[in-house]
This record gives sequence, structure tokens and C-alpha cells, in this order.
Amino acid sequence: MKYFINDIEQESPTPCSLEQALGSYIEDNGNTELSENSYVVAVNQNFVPRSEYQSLLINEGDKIEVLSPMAGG
Amino acid sequence: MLKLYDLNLNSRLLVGTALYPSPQIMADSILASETEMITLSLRRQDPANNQGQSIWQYIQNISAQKTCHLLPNTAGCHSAQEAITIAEMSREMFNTDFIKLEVIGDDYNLQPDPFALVEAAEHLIKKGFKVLPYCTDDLVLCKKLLDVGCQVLMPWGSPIGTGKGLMNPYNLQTLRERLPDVTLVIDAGIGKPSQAMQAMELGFDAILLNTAIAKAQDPIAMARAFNAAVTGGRMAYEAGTMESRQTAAPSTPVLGTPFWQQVK
Repeated sequence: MKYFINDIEQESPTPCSLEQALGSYIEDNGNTELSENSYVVAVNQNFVPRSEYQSLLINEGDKIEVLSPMAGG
Repeated sequence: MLKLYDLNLNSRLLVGTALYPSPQIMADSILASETEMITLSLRRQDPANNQGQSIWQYIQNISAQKTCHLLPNTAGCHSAQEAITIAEMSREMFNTDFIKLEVIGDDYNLQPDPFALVEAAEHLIKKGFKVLPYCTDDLVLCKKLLDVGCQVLMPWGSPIGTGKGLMNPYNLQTLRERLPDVTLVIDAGIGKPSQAMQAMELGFDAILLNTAIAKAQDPIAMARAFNAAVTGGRMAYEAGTMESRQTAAPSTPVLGTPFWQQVK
């Protein structure tokens, strides 16, 4: 099953939850600084609260957006 | 006091966190400005560049030193749906209902899309957000934003990052006169302290700026200058300026003028 995180294609042999998808992404990219409280997530442009990461199942082609605090005006 | 929904602030200067030469200068500038509210954003974390996390650490340190509320923005959004999603993500990330709502309608001058702005503002206010919309100085648009529940409006002085000051003082003065009880914040386009002071003398409640401090040759000193200008402008507005007149009038008493100065 293929899906995308921040436009980067990801692949999972079995259906996975959002929590599992995020775990793989953080591990694969060496994003050790990306602790759980330093990012928020949207799937297919819909906000997903942290409380739903475990229960939300990722579907083929889903687009996951992972965002963190940044400077802004 | 500056009233932003149920929040009262002593400082009438809101400051952005972008474009500084370094995170330390950003932090020192914010402290020097004496602001009590700073803007920030959400972006993808680049694994090769940890600057975002660094900035976030500095901002958290500032908040630990003084009262400094966070005002996340929806910069870069081009539709109501995009802005709504970013606002919801920001609420969870920053634990605040405040949102600086930006929906851009044109990339050349970063002018807000008035239609999408009202649509997004209405949706977000129903969800309990305290929306501070970045808007143009169009009176009818401002009234529509109030109709959907906005209690604060943030008209531009001129396009973001231009430093051109108040492009249309007539429109801004009209806003102030027509909406006397609404908190009005000039957001964007301020380049010099004199321009911020001009806006405050017109009766605007606060100034939000970023580039004018961050891109100054000495951002920390410029932050102090803007703080003084905003404070001085507000004092002048409250004091009430004199009426201007067409003809000269001597300020020194005419009575007792020496004979050689008397007009014949």
C-alpha cells in the first residue's frame, strides 16, 4: 500500500494506522528531534487530532501532512 | 489596554518572529520591543535543517521569561479550507484559540482574498477560534467580517514586506470613524517607526509588524524604537491633537511687543 507523507512516497506491506505511519516516517528520516509534541498532522487536508492517531487507518494514496512550529510574521 | 477578545495587553505592538539574522537576535528583539504577543507559523520540518525546532526553542524560552502570547498564522493559504485546516492544526500545536487568519488572493501583492477570508472566519468563529483576520482597508469587507463574529480586524497599511507605510490614510481613517468600538490593528506594510506612530495617532489600537524590525540594520535597537513610537502615538491620540489651520498664528503673546517690532 502506497501513501505520502509531506509529498514523499511511503510503502507499507499491510494496512497501518496513522500512528504506525508516523513512527516509520520519523525513524526512516532520522527525525529524532521530531518528538510527539513538536508536530501536528492533517490527512488529505483534514486536521487529525493527536487522540485519533492510533485509531485512524491509512488508505491507499492518502496524503499525510506533518507540520512543526516555524517562524512567521 | 489593548483588548483582543477577552485578552487585555499592556503593549500595543505585536511582533513577528521571521527573517531575523539569527534566533538569538530574534529573541533579543522581541524582549526589547516589550511586545506581549508574537506571531509564528506551521511548516514542514526539513530533516536536513533543524532551524524550525531551534526557533521554537527560543520562542518557548521567551514565554518562560515574560508574558508573551502566541498568535499562529495561516500564512501561505490560498483557500478557506486550507486556512481552516492550518488553524485547527495550530490550535493543537500552540494550545491557543487565537489565529491570525490569512487567505491570500493574489501572489503578486499578497492581497487577501476577501470572499475566502469571510468564509474561513465564519467557520472558525463557530468552532470557538478568536480570529484576527488580515484584511484590506475596505469598509464593507470589514463590516462583513464583524457580521460573522470577528471582534478584531487587521487591515493592511500596505502590502506585506513593502515598508511603504499607510498607502491609503483616507480609507484607514474612514474605518476608524465608522467602526469606533472595534479593535483595529494595522498589520503589514509598516517600515518605519514614524509610520507606526502615524497609524496610532489616527486612533488605531495596535500595530503588527515583522520585517521592519527583522530587516533593520540593528533589529534590537529598532524594536525599542517601534515600542517608543507605538506608545507615543497612542499617547498623542489620547491627548487629542490640535486642529490644523491654513494661516500662521504667533505662539508668543503679541501684547507687550517692543515698539520696533510693532507692525505699522
